Amino acid sequence: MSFELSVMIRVAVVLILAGGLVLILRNRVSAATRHATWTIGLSATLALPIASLVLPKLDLPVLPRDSRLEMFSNAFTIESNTAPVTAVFVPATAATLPASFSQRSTVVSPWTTRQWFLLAWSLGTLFVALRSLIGAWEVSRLWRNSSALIDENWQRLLGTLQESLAVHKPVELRIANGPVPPMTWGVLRPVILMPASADTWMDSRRRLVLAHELSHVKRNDGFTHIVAQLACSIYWMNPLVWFAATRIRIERERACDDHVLSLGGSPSDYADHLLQIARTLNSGFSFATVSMAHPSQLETRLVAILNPLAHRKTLSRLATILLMACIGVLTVSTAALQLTALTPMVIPSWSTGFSVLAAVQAPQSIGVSAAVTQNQRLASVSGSVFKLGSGEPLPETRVELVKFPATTPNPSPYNTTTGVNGKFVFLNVEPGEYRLVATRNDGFLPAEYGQKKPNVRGLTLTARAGEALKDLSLPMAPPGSVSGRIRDRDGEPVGQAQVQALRTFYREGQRMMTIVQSVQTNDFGEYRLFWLAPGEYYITAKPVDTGGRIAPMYIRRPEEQFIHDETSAPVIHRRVLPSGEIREEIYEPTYFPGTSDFGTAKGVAVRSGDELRGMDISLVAAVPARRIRGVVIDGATGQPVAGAGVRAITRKPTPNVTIPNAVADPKGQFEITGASPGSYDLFAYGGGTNVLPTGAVGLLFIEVGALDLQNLTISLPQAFDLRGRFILEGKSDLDLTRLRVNIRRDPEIFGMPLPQAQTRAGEPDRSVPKPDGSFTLTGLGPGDFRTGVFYMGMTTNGGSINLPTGTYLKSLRLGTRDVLAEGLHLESRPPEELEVTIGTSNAGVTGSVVTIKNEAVPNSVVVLVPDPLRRYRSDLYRAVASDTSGRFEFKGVPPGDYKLFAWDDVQSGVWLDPEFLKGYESLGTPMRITELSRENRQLTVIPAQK
Amino acid sequence: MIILIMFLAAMSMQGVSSLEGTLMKAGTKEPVPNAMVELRADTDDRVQYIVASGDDGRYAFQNVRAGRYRLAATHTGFVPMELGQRGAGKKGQPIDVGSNQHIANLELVMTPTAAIFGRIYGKNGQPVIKATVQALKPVYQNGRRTLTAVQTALTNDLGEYRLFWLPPGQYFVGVKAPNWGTFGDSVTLNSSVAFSANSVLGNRYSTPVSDPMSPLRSGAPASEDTRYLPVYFPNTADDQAAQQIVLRPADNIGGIDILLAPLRTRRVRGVVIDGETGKPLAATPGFASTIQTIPATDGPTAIINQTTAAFDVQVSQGPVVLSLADRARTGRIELPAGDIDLDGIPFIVTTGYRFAGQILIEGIDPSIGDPRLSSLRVTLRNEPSVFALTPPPESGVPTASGAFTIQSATAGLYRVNIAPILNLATTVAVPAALQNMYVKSIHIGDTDVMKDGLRLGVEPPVSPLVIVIGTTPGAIAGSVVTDKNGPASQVTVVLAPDTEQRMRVDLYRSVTTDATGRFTLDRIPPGEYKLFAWESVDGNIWQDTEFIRANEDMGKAVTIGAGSKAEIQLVVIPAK
Repeated sequence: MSFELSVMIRVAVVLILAGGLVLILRNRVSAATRHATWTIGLSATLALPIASLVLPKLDLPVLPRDSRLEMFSNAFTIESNTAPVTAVFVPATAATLPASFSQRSTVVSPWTTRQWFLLAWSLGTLFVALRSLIGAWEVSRLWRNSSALIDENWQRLLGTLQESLAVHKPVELRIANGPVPPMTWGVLRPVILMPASADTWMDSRRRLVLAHELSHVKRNDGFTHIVAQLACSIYWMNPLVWFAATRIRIERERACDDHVLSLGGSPSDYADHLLQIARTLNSGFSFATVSMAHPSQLETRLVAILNPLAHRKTLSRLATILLMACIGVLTVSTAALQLTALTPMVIPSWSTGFSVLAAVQAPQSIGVSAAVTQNQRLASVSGSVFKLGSGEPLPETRVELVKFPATTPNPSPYNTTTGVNGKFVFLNVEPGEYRLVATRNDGFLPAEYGQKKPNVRGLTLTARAGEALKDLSLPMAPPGSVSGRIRDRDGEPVGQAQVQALRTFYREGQRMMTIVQSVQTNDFGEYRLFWLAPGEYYITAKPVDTGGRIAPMYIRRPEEQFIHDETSAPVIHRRVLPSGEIREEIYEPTYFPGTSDFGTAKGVAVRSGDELRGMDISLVAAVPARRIRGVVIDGATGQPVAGAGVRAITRKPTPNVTIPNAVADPKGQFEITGASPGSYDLFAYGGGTNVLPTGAVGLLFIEVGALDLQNLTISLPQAFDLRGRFILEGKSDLDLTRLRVNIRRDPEIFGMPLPQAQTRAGEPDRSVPKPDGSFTLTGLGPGDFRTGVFYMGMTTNGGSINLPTGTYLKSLRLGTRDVLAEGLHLESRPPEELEVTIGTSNAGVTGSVVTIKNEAVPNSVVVLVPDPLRRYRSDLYRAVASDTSGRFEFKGVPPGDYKLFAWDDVQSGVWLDPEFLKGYESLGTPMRITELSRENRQLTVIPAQK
Repeated sequence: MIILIMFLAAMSMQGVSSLEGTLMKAGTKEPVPNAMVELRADTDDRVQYIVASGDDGRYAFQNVRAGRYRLAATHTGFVPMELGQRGAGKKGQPIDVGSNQHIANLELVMTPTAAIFGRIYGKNGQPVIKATVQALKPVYQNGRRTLTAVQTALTNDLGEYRLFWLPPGQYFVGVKAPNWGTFGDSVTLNSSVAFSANSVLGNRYSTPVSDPMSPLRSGAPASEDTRYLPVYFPNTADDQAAQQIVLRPADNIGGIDILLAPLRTRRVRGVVIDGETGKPLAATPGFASTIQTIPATDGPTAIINQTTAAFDVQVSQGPVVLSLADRARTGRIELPAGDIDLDGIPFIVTTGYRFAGQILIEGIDPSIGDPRLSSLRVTLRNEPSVFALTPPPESGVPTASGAFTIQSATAGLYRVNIAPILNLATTVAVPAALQNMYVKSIHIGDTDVMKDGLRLGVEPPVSPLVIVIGTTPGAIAGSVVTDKNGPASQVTVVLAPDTEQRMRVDLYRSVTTDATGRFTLDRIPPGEYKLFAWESVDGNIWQDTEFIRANEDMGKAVTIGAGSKAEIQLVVIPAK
């Protein structure tokens, strides 16, 4: 039996003994004990050859006595690294290995099988050692790419933990600039490296991770790791050694977990942090799938952490000595059984060693090299979130990195939470275009990267492979609030009054109002409107029916820009006059500071962080409520229509419409209460046998004055159909069945039924075009309409385009009439078809926006406005934002004459208002576009008005 | 109509009367000006006359036709009041107005309302915005206290809320996590008022026309796996541990601050197994079986995977009962408290087993039986009650000798309902033939089911369910007087079992005295009782053992013998 073979056998025996010991002890002892057992076992294997030399030999001359086994050559001596890492290790390694072993010459001839074998062994050892050295080099690189964590909080935490863990060695704490797992190396002067994201961690996580790493230091895992590495390189052929090394690694982590847990704290919290770190360090990793396929180390660790019965004791000195003694005796006896005389074994001269102890190893075991290579294919994005103005960091803020243009709106591919210092990091980001947004739910406006002001569009970020987008700042603006009291005319507080914040917006060039928020006053008449994005608001108040059970409230997050209108029935208040007469009255909404006339209402400018108090409103006096009585008849038969709905809609512009209404009785008679003096569109709809109301309404224009209105007759017209056809010109990918004609009343009165009948359940929708493009709009009534086209399921793509890019509404004709220009007036079923022509265009306009000093203007609004003759066509306007370098692009622009404008800051849609455009006409760049145009223009930005 | 007009004209011809009086604030006796004072017809509650009180709190009705009216007054910040009204929601005492009569000095004492305010904050002290805060009142059902909201409010950006215009009384305050639904919200103003049609005709919500300037809409700010339990003052998720807040008239109680912290959840996964086949439960086409948690606040209802019958629920870390609702099968799992996710849980559901029972009539040989027994129905009600699609285990028609079989019983805790003589959920009219029947005892083996409930295991019980019916109930007739010895009308008389039987919810009875202060109670199972007469009492708070213990001395001990008829006079316990 050759010496090396006998060593191998003895190594195996020792390890089997150690493994047996662990197996016997199994779960009765802590991970620390199991770790110690394996480590001592592995150390013993290293000591075996030496022990065999020292121990008295029992000569069993089976083996040839030559020195050919001295295969290890110092030719493989590896130059030490320059990094302090090596400096740390040299003494440690040197101490482990007798210097006499390092310089040996090699005997070369003749080459026997054994020599070949020894060569293979040494080459293997070299390979394994080299692998370790590469690791060491990676570590040194990491060290170079990291910076010392001198932050006071970290240092204080380190100090406290060192004290509580009784770690007396100086520990160097560093932070990497990339996605590395937290790690520790070094024996005499240990280094702890934290990942870049650690700076954003909560205190609790910092504490747990640092405690974990420090317990590696405490336990001298750096040293045991070297032992394991050494054993692996020397006995690389022995799978048991590898197994032991793996067990050492696993038990080491568990022992540290136990150590951390022994400091107190909830196991589930710890497990949670562990999981989250694993997740953030490898965003592509799915715990579920991996764990199902192979129970990973992480999972077993989690189980161990969460196991309430687990032994978590650290190893006492006595226990260590006992273990060493136990395994020592076993080793000695194994060594003593060695009967051959030994030639001293040659071990390469180690000038360096390393130890990478990952606190968290994802199931796919992110090695350092893995993390680094992955990083080269991916990008990272980091920055901080703070309060606008004060710069105060905002911890625990959700930050999302959303692919743009959005493929799916939710869930966003990357999201994280800022740390105590408001910082965030996204590692391993897929290269691409993104928008970055921070949100909080305790009263801040979301901040989007590149915003010019709060609550508007931000800029698109481009993440490139291997690049780090750093120091991105997301200043969050606190929203404003408006508070005050609502009083009646006697100065008494009005409780449970409805107070609303309204704001303007532009719809097809018309300035309109929408409800932003709706709240109630308390018993002191106090209200508070909050979460208001900077802007101008109109505040309106109205008492509600206190006898009612439910009061509507409407509170949305400031970033949710919905357009909201409400209709409600009037609330009739009864007042006893001094004469004893009871008068029915209604309150009309009172606008701040105290008018029922919107024209004299005062807007309230709210800036970020404003708390506007004392915005009191005195309700204007209630006005007398009149009644409107009459009958609804069928226009064709003259018969009364039972169950018809009747509504009186005011012509006052308000998003909160009070609609006096009634339902006709079986004789078709109705009585509406609560109509204040003024003009109304009184209309009747539905009723009779109609399940769903059609668009056919009977309309009367009425004026309510000092008296009730009597004996009105509303005649319900017959509903009719309108046939139409889509014609597609040119080549496009349009799906005909997704095209629809959009028909609206002109003027559009909120509160009236839709102009066309709704499709009943189970019936085919006839407005869906057939393969030949034909369709039918059903249940229309007489009246004036506006028509347009839209494409079902199309996501918004900028501008008020309702057709996919490259297609446009070319014409809409009813017989000889140009419906787009003249509108659609219908009395009855028209004999002609509505002919809708969809054109295609490949015209493109590109360009850039600059200031008068020729500097690029990012995020400006570039608008393509059709020539004055076609300005009524809202579908022809196009608007985009310029990118980071001020560039913009329009695709598929319909042919025609246009003017191009670039505004630095402008309210969306206002360009459809001719009054607004009048002031800028001369600043536009005119251009003519044909179907194949390729235009390029440089535009000078129109600066924002102060 | 014409008849009515003629009638009214005839009345008016007889000559009109007048009423006058004063409105005063309770306690201080200050006048209440500017209140609406109404005369309501006693028959249909319709308002006939309306006046406003003057600065001195005085009001006067002139030209009132003869009739029977109730006098009512309403004013913001006061509890609506009818003359002679005892307790919320009760009617006042009617006034008979003759012709040419002048009724003076009708004093109406109005009670000012009270308010509760405070702040809702998160785990870092930050305000919780738009949380739903509720003023809750206890409701006792089957001896269990549940809380129902009488008013809700939403917190503002400072986390502040204010619940106001609350009638004095006992309240609990609870808070629910903000709802980030797409559309509008609403708050309950006053749930004691009958539901009035929502005055909102319609709302319109639309996204702005695609806007190149609109900011990015981010996802939900709250993480999806964060769940919240309703939290009650003072910071408890257990409604039984909630602390009562006593509001006296005009109270304005602040500092009712509540911490709303996310609930730690655990994940429970497994497969629903059909107990009959031992295989995963086959889906009913077009029907999704669901798993609910009891209480429902512990986790959302989860739909079972239609093909694999797998389930996956996020539940609280406290003890949780999972209950399966399917068309044909039922099952329950009781999970102990824990914080570890559970996987591979087999959820066995069955159609249940049958077991036998016997109804015995006291003093009648079961072999002779009684045909009346066939009109009884025995059903088992889940305890605590849970919404289920499957009908409760039921007996079918018992034989004349009283034998019955419970069908489709599954493991769980139940109460026994014997319609129509022992009704747990609703009151059912008892037919004349069954009038003298009452449930004396229910046993299974040695277990007193009326006291401890019926606990069924996975295997059918070995002993039959034995129900003993008594036929000699007692009755009480009596009257309640005020401390001045006058008749006490509209007073709540409560018969409560003696201390040892307090858990027997079936033994409690209540009745309201008539105009002369009289009351009757019949069909009372013989035994020891206590009788109380409260001037004003909330809901059925007497089922609260705490409440009754505090009032113990004011009750009158009564022994009901078999077939006895007691005549008892009580002195009313005045409202505090």
